[in-house]
Amino acid sequence: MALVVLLFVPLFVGSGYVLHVLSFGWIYATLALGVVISYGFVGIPNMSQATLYGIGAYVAGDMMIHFALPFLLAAVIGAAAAAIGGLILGATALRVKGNYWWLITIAVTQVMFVVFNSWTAVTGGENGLLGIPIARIGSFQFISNANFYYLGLGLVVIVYVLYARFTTSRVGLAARAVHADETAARGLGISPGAIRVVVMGLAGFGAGLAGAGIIAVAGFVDANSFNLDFSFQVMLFAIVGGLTSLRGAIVASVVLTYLTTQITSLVNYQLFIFGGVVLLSLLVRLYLGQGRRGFRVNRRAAAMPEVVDTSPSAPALIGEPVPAEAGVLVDQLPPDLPRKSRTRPWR
Amino acid sequence: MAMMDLSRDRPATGEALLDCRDVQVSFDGVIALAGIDLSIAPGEVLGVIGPNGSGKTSLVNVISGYYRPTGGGVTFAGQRIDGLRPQQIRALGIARVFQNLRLFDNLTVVENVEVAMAVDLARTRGVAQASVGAMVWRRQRRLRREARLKAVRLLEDNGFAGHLDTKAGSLSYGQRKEIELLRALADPPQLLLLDEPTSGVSRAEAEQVGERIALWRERTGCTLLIVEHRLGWLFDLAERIVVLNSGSVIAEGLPEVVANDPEVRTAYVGTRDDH
Ligand SMILES: Nc1ncnc2c1ncn2[C@@H]1O[C@H](COP(=O)(O)OP(=O)(O)O)[C@@H](O)[C@H]1O
Ligand SMILES: [Mg+2]
Repeated sequence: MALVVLLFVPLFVGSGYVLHVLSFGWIYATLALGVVISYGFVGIPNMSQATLYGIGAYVAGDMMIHFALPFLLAAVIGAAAAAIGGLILGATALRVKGNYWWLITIAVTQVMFVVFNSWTAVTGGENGLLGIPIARIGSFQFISNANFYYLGLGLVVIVYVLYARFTTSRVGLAARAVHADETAARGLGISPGAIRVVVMGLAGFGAGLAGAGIIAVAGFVDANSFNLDFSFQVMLFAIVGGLTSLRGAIVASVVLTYLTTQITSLVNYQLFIFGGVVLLSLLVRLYLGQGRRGFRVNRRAAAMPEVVDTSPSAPALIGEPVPAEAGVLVDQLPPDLPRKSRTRPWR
Repeated sequence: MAMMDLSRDRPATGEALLDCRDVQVSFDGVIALAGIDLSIAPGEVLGVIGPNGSGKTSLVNVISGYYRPTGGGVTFAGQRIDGLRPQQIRALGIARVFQNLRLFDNLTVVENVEVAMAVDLARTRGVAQASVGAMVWRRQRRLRREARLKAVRLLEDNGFAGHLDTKAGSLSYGQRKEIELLRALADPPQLLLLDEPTSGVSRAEAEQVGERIALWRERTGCTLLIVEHRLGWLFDLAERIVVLNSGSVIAEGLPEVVANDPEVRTAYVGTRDDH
């Protein structure tokens, strides 16, 4: 339903500029979806989306420039390259735990920014990738803003469908288990490393497709498109969207992209405004609970009487009473604590 | 301290399912296990008791692969397993339940069991646990549905029909303990390690857990190693008891013999549980 509405947007939005901005919004949304599956589902704070996106863009662009490959083929190759990048990232960091993921993914992004900026033969160095041909599928050329809008929308739909398949698959379920308690998951026979590698590969694939999208829409990229700031921005989109919600990430990305680029006369204040919008939306979320649906759920949870374990502690060795297990305390948390995830976290 | 062998009915070696030989574990000089020799025969129910800090959990951690022994070795069904990772050991057929609750609190009750079922199904079908195929191929997607059905059936059979879609974290402590046990049984293990399965639950709930374990054992012939503080409860269930102290086995034998052994009583058991 929502998709049908979105398909008709270009017919009613006269402004080419708005459509142009929205096409960027779709591409950023594609990247934010990767954060949802990697950070939201398996718990990898993925600050390398910009790098994977860059790999996709440069590889796809080079395929079109130097090998005159058609756009679709170049996009698939770019996405495959970024997927391999994601697999490598996931595999090299197998022994990494918790917060070190932040360090690793941030460091990779910083290093790769320098590589992108200096490997002139592949990336065009500081001049950026010049001479990217117009993207075409068959004889159809992507030239108008409406074309770009549909291209972006198509990409986000493809990646959304793929990631939704992930979240509803047994791999997505195992990922949530690993995220919740890695030790217990291993005890059930789950290999957290294998799950992480696959998820990072998937994140890379989506980011690579987004990279191919951006070269078609923007016609030009340089290393500044793939820096740490951008990774951070994509991370914020995903967090504002609820982190475990694919749809939330899409909405947050498009809305925030639109709002921040709308204020053209205040270019210098763009980051300031971006920050303000993020803050505002977080406040809204905090006061309304976890988004629309979460609001109702939370109210119901608060109204429910708390289950408190009143059983006596185990009568064990006489003369040596066993203290109640620490776990019992969990039942006694105040009812207004936000739940970690929603009833259907993949929606 | 001299070791007293009070067992009469079983040979120490032979066709043991699990065999620990001189297992040692230490942490920066703190000795958790000081050379444990222990074997479990197929189908046996072995109880492990000992005061706090005597090394019971460490022993379970070694067998299930969470601790790598600093000395000695562990053999399961004729295969050396020390040094394997927990997920590999689980795949060989050793399941464990943790002393402190380790359910996935923000997953639903059925998802907690389903995830274990799915791992098992993938293994028996010979498909990768994590792959793109698991997401896109219909045959593989069916596998999750199958896992869910099996999980639902197991939970319904055990009185959790009304809680399938409840978040595991919102159930009572006793219920969560039961579900953790069911989750370990989802993929029927050959050897089940239970670390204080009744800690923190009421006496009535403990009885229920005991019945469940006994029933399960009757049905599957599963071998059990049970660490437990409730001695009366354990002595009803176990066929043989091993007593640990300071990381060593200090006594071993039939429950009633161990329970009445004066040295064990004075040193570790105090007065016997009236239960
Ligand atoms: N991971 C660990 N790090 C440091 N010391 C440990 C660790 N695990 C166990 N120990 C020590 O080993 C001893 C045995 O502990 P444990 O096996 O938990 O005993 P029990 O389960 O019988 O109460 C204790 O002194 C404990 O402090
Ligand atoms: Mg213990």
